[in-house]
Amino acid sequence: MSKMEKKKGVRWSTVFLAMVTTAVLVIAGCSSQSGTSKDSSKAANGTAANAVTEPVSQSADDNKSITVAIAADAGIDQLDAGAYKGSMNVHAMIYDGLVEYGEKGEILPALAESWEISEDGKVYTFHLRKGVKFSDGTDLNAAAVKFSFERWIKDPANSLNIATAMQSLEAVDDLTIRMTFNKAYYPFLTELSFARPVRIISPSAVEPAGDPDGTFVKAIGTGAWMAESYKTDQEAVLVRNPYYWGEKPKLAKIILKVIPDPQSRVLALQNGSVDLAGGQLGKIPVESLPVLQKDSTLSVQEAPGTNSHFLAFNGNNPVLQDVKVRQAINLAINKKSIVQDLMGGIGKEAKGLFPQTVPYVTEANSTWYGFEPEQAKALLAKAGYSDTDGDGIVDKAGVPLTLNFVLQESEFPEWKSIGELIQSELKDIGIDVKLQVLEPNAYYDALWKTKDYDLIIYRTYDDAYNPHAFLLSLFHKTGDAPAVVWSDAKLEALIDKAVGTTDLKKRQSAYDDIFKKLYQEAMFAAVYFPDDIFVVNNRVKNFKLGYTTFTPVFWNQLDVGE
Amino acid sequence: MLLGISCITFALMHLTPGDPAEIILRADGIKPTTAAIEVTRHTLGLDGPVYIQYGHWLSRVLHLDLGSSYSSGRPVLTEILSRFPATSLLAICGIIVALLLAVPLGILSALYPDRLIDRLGRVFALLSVSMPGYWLSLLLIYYGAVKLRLFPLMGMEGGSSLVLPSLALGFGMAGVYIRLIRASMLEALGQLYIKAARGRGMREWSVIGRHAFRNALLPSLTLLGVQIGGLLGGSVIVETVFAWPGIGRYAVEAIFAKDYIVIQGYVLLMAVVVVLVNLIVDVGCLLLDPRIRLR
Repeated sequence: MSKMEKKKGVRWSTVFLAMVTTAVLVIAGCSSQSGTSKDSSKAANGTAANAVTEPVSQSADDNKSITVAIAADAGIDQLDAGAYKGSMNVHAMIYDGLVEYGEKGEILPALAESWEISEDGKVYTFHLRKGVKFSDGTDLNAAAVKFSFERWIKDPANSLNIATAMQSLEAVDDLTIRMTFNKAYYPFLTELSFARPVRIISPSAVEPAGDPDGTFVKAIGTGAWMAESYKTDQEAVLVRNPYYWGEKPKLAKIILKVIPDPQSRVLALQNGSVDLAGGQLGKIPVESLPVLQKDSTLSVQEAPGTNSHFLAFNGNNPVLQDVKVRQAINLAINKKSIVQDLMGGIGKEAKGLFPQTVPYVTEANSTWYGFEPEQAKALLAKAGYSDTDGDGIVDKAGVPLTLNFVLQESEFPEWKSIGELIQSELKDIGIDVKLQVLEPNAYYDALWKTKDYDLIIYRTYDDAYNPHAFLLSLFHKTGDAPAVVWSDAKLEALIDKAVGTTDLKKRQSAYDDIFKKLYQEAMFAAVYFPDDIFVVNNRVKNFKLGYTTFTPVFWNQLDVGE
Repeated sequence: MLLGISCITFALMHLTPGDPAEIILRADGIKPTTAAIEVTRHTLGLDGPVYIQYGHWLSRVLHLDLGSSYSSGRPVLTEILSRFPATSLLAICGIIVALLLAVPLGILSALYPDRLIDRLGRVFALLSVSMPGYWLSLLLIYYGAVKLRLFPLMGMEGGSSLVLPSLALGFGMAGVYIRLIRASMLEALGQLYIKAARGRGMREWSVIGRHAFRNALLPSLTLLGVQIGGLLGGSVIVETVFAWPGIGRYAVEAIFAKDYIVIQGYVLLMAVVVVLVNLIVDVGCLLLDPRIRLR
């Protein structure tokens, strides 16, 4: 062996040694990093625990806890009651509003025990519940409510009606707060039940304390839960608020675990590391339901949702300005087949813009077009369309009836198959549909701005935004901009009438007229009413679905059995 | 070069559809009135011409400030740096898994070409390259965590939670290296200096290890250099499926939200990482092969 050889060998091992050393160093660096993050979360535990030591009475149920899968980070460190940051579900667990949203939009007392509305519908006086404390032990009073509203109400980026219409906000006495608005608008109370930004935060949650412009420091509310620890993108741990004014929750702890992938959520349920998942917290894929239904440790809960999927027509297209064409399209869509064949029987046949879980939607005003392809063909013929060249596509004055159907898959994967079904059904009555799948941002640009579509599939908003906010957003002009989905002056007048009246009967009849008009003029095409699906481990007891997406479950009633 | 990269990403982002101000408002559930959009645009600094926005960004970067995310309001630099350890830990463990699989299999396939071990290596390489990462990850979770309950299902808690994601990541990379090491080993073993070494009566493991393998390592090392850059950028699929709090997920969420400032910061930092890694690899090649030094 020559000297050269030996030298080379030495160098090779040096390189190897260097590589191993760097690898070890990097790994060591990582583990020390994770060590410090653990320490900081412990520190957070410490402070939270210190704050609550006094009133906690140790009992057997103090270690009852469940783990819930959430799709996105809870953002506890940014959970300012007056800001649109962090998880809306956690907002509603930590903070209470003056009022609460009940079944079909019934407004229930929360922090306000009672309230009065003036004759003209412009002055609201709220009487606060006595003896309510924030999770840090400070008192809830009219000043705290005023403080909470002042943190966001002047922000011009806010378009809530309570913000834009508010003229004055005064603390009449310690437990009375009065709001004066410049118009009558019945959904003021609904807006006050939202998850954000209307909920009440302790003046001590900001720095300097009590300053409405102060910097948010910590989530301190009057809700049943408070944050114990939080790791960005990993988990948030909520524990009972010892000062909670309502019935004491049966669980001591709720762990929210971030699991972004839907299929991983299914596996986590099967493995038992997650007790509850579903709804808007993190959707469960429909195709996984058969497996989950077979699992003896799990139960699948379905409940009718509050939103719907529908097709919007482009009113700028002269072809679609003809009501007969719009009706024909409606008659050609087999709503039942979408539920039965595409969605595995989950969901309901669409019978209008909103399902009957939405306020003011009744059996009587839910009338919609059935599946009548022959009638659809007859309507097209009446509108002057016929297949003159025998290619299966109807035409008028030599122009074939071709429509551009825009959709996106990222947020709603089911829209692809729904789109394909509608494409083939419209082909059957002689309409040629071109499907165009866009990435979400391009899709929203088409919907809101460029109007580069003939048909576009969209969905209504959830729960508390219905029906008024959705109708105002999409069937009513905003400023000078025409309505997004369908522009009609008479419809807009009816919507104004419905939201402006304090008389319940008049409001109901205005809504009846709105739904009737939408139907008669086929201002959109109904497609599908989805269900909310939750999957729950059988060790969890008292599971009950909530009435809004931000309170999807009655958390306080949940319990665990042996 | 970094300037060029940042300039191109900036331009590309502004060419794609979607207005960040509007997207943020909608994500917040606010009905975006024209006034609300104007105000948001102004607070985000999105109301000037593009070149002025770029100028602002550049001057801030020169002061080592990458700005704050449009959607979360958190500072970009700390957000990226706080996720970096998780991603690099996973990347390194993934590479270790890949090398542990590929080096022995690659060498053995080269030593016994067309024998059973070589065929196994070929099947393995084919599987590794063609199996979708998403599916493999789910299979690993299903068998490793649901059926056998050997490892935690997901998340980053303790060493055992590293096993499944590293396997998923490493398995996908191993195939290419098996074939690469096999091919370059075969080439090296056919060289005259191997014959010479054998002729001088050196022990076989020393011939293979010191002479053949060392020469066969160069192409793999170059490829590894290219791949490390990508790995440190975060593996979106593995991070999403295993709920790993890494950088890839963060970047993809920012792209969907059109969070320019985050994307811009991410691209810049990744460019720095790639440049550094390539530098290290070049130095590594110099150490391995003195011929390059002479050139």
